[in-house]
Amino acid sequence: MYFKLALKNVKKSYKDFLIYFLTLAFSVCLFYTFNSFQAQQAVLNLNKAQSQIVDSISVIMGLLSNFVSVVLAFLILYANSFLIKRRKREFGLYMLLGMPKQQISKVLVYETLLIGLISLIAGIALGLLISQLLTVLTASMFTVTLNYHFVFSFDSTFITIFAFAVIFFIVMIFNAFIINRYKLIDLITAGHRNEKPRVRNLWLSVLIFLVSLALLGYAYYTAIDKGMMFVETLTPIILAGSIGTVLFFLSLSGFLLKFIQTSKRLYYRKLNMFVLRQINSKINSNFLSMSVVCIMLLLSIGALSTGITLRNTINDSTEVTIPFNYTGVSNHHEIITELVQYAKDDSRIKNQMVINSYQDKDLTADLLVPYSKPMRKLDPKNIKNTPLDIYKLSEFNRKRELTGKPKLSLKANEAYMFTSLDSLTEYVDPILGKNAVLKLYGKEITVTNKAYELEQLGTAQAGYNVTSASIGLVVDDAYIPNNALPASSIWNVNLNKGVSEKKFQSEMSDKMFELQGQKAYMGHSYLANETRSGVLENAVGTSVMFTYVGLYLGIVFLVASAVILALQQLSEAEDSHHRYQILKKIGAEKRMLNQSVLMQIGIYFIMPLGLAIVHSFIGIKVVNSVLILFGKLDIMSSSLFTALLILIFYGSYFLLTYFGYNRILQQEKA
Amino acid sequence: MNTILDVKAIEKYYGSKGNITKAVDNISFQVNEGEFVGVMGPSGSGKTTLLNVISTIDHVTSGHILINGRDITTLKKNSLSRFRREELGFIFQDFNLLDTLTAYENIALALTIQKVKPNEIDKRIKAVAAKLEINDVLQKYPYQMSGGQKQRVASARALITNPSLILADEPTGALDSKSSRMLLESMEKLNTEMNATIMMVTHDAFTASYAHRILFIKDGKIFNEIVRGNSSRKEFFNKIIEVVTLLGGDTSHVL
Repeated sequence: MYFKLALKNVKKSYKDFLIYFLTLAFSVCLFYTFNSFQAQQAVLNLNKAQSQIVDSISVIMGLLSNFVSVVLAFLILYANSFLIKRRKREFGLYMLLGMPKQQISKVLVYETLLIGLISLIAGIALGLLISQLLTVLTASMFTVTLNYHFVFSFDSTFITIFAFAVIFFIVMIFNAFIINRYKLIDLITAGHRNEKPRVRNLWLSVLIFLVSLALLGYAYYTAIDKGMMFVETLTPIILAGSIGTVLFFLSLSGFLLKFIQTSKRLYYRKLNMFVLRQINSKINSNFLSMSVVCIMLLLSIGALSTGITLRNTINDSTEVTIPFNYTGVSNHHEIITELVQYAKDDSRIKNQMVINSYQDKDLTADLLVPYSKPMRKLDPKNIKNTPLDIYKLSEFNRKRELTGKPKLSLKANEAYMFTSLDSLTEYVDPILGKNAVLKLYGKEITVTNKAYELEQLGTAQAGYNVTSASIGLVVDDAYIPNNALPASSIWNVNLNKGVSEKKFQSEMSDKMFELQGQKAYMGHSYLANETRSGVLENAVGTSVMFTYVGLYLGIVFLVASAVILALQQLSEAEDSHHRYQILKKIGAEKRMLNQSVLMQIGIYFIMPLGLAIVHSFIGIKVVNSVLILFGKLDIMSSSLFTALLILIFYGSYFLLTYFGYNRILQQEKA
Repeated sequence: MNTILDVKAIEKYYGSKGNITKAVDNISFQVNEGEFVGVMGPSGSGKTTLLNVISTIDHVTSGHILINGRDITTLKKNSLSRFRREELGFIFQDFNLLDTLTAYENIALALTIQKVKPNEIDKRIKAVAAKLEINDVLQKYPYQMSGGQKQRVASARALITNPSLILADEPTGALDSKSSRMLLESMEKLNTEMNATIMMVTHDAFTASYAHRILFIKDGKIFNEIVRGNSSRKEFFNKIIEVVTLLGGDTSHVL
């Protein structure tokens, strides 16, 4: 009997439940999809290393899911309490007819079960479809072939059902608690209470608005100037940023009102003043959630665009960083020398070369400061401790020859300056063309090149700079004294076709460590060796990881913020019902009313998004200056992709809200 | 004298086959320009339905209503709201002021939805406010005003568009007797000085006594009609009481 009542309720008011239901289904779908990586392996032709990556992705997704489920739990509770509030009068009627509270709770439990069940089924069904698409995406990112058949992840289904069962259980307890606290008189008179609009001094709003702008400006300035790498700068940035954001929304409507009031033509135009007042009247209860939404959108945009930017960056920079099949590096040149000796007669080697870098302790980067303005901003102590990397022309040209580039030719007293790192070009570029004169091992030498190519001296992981020259100087071999010891030696090898890079690498690696073990080295010491396929796999793995983490978190935050806004607007539609009724009576056309609803919802949706976009513009700029260590960034495509996702999720909730709002306005009120 | 409102044999039925309620049952009457007409009747007599169909909020089942020569029963939805805001002014029992707007803005709203120019808005509000003596509450919000002030602001909003007909639905229903008297005097003033045509629905005899002519409605039909003529308000009031007693209901509302 109670189940029947619950069933009828859900059927009857499915439109009210629509947003709730969609949110649940979305959440279930996301949850299922991003937990289904393990199962995807079944159809992907992955090698061992790749499947290890997929394993670690699924572990990370599992960890993230803990966090995501907490976020979703709060979101679902919020949506649920919105629905319960809407139905106060209905509960009042039940109680008036003599239904005990426990039984009302029972009806609600059935309803929750019913909606939960439907949304779980719908969400998992949708998740099944989306996860198939994700499988195809994974395959294309790993550039492996697909042995396609339909994938059903039992694990993910189980985790999803478990997580949402817990969430629904919490919702049920919450509902029972709420119902228990209701008093009949409040339920019956719900909606009758006339809220007094709190009037705040508009000039105060203007003042607070200016303060918020100042705080945001300070946060932006500090972020750009000092970066966000250290706790000392991060704390004030986050503090100023969040307080600024809260104050911004607290005062925005008042400021807007005051501002538009100065233009009579704008203020007294159709329903403009009504809409502005409408927003202003609710801002006291809304500014906090708007701020939260803004910050969530910022996280969403940040997660989405950085995840994707990193992926693109890693893929691009991989091309530059893998010139050879195999590279061994050490700061102990004798290890490299002996290693080369050891592999002398190895028939697998097609060609090979060694390039040493030398350092003259008197030739440090600070000597370049007079030629490079940007360098003045750097910490003087740091650049004094950074020696230039010096290369012999013959070795450098051998490297260029093997990578298919034209040889350099230098006169006796000429030097060629370059860098391997994208992030340093802004410091190195200004030095060129000025014929900078430097002293190298006691002899003068002039930097004569006007341009250079970014090049790595061997194969290495992106961001792992053992084969990069920070500021490199290529000079005639004769400049370097015979007794100078290399600061680091790089051995580059190209292998014959069909030879396993992995096998070669593991042999050489064993030998390297054996050689190192024979000698007791003092102080800092490093050995590294890498293969082209190793770099590629790692890059793909990292990029897939970043993409998925970005997508998962980004979409969750996006949906969460859209839901909060949507529900808030819909509950406001209830309160505004009588106002729109009055407007209708005094002869406002339907089109005018629709416009005003659209404007009101639009402002609510666009304001947090707008500020979040400004925030993230600054944030991403700063974050990118950190990420640039990985190589050149491609922001454009990731921004487009992020915008598309926002348009889809945010946009659909916007439309839902708009239609829902109009529907509530058209309802006849008893 | 021009006929502003011409109601021709209108009927309004509620319900479907087998269970029909005739809320308005073949009513016809006319209101001329500058008239102040009252409509009285007990609860359920159909007076609110009558007002609703005249105010274009509801549709008639049959018959015609002409306002200023235009048949509103044949108008389309959008021309209806246009007609409503240009030809009609409303005064409601519960004021229906927007709680988020100041008095000034509430009045201005009636003009902004007619797309009147901002400069003119200010001029017209000042003029009406002076007539209704609400100059000093213009910058207040509804919750800061007394009931009487609210109702006069609502009257100003109804009047400011220079409507052909002002429809008042129990305008004194939520007011105390002093505020009621002040409001009715204002309405009288609007009627005499500005030649506003007013049709007022009430079940309160005292309120009705300010009108010039009163239609009594019972069970959806016109039951009686009395005209004030040259008699004083006191005499007219007594006449109203007589008819109300005859009607046999609602005497508890008589002062």
